[in-house]
Parts: sequence; structure tokens; C-alpha cells
Amino acid sequence: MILAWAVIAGFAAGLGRAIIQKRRYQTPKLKYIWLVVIAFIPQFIAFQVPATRNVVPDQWIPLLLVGSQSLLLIFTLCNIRESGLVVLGLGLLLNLLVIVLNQGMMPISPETIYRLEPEGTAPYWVVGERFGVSKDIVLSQGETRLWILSDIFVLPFGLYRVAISIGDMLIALGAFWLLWSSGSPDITAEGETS
Amino acid sequence: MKSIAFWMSKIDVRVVLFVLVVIMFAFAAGAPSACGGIGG
Repeated sequence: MILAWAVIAGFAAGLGRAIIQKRRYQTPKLKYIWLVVIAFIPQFIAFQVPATRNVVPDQWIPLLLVGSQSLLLIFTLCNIRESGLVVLGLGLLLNLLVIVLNQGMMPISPETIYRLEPEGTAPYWVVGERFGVSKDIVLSQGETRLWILSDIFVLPFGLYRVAISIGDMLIALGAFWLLWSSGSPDITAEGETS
Repeated sequence: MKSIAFWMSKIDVRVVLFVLVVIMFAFAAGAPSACGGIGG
């Protein structure tokens, strides 16, 4: 959700920039876009679609997540010269790194979950297992490799609280930057400087 | 009407596809966890 807002804000800012400068909103020439689509579809099925996310076995999640994000990494490397892709790619790399080192899922500690749900709802999670139908695995701080890169920051977000990682922050920033840059007068020149 | 036409002229199919690609990338690359364990 927080990432969706970064996209909306970046697009609005970039479009506003284009309108103020009386120019068209220009899209960068991204290569191998199909990699993003192929990476997205399995995650959409496994994490978003209510009819399917509850039936995808937890054992499949590490392979699905690491495979999907590896495709995104290839896409990023193929388009690294575009504005914002360096930051997006760095965020992706940090997330992928901590996921690979922690059983193929993003670690979240019980302490962070308590901060997400301070009212103390009946725990539906178990340490060492997947957290609900999310991309996360519940691991104590001591068990987590590269804990600093896991979901440790809790932000209020409307009626919700959201736990995010440093990688998520960079992805939000990179998405905003990429969309904002597309409203610039000379998108090619700006892309070459990044 | 003129201002709506001006806004619409700033957006074409390529832009819509580009924004969709960024949304898909951000969703697939990110791993935030919301209250209730809803991923994405």
C-alpha cells in the first residue's frame, strides 16, 4: 500500500511537472518489460488474490519470491541507466539479500508484529513460520541474518500500521523518482546522468 | 472542457503501461507487511 502511494505521488508530481512546462509526459524506453510482468503474476496469485493466496503452499513461497525478484534484478540491470532504476534496484537487492539469507522470505520479528498489532489480538502466527499470507517469515531478532534489512520500521498508514524495510523505502523512493523524472524536459539526458 | 482535453492529451497508452509496469515492479520487489499480515 505504501508503495502504491509512492507510485501515485510520483506520477502526480511528474504529470504536474509536464503540465507546468507544457510538455507531454514522456515514458523512458525500458527494455524487457515482459520480465516485470512474468515476475509480478506469480506474486499476485500467491499474495493478493483471495481465492488463491490461501491455497498456495508455504513451501512454494521461497522459490516463488526469490525467482520472481531475480527476474526483476535482471530487468533492473538491463535498464540501469534510467533515472530512479539505480535506487529501485538497490532497494530490490537489499530485500532480495535478506530474503535469500532467511529461508526465502522477508523476516519480521515478534516485537515488530506486536508493534503492528498493539491491541493484542490472538496470535495467529508462529515463530519460524510464514506470517499469515504475506511475504514474511516470523523470526526473532537473534535468528535473523542481516536483521537491519528486515521489516523493522513500523509506520502508521491511515487505519493500518505497516512494517517496512530499508529496501522498501528505497523502492518507494526509486518509484517516485522514476515517475517524477518522466515529467522532465529531457528524459534521455536526465537518464544518462543517473 | 478545454482543460480536461489538455490533461487527457498529456496521457497516452504508453504512459498507462509505464505506470502499470512501475506498480508491478514495486509490488513484486517490495515486502512490506501490513497490520493483519496482508502482504504487499
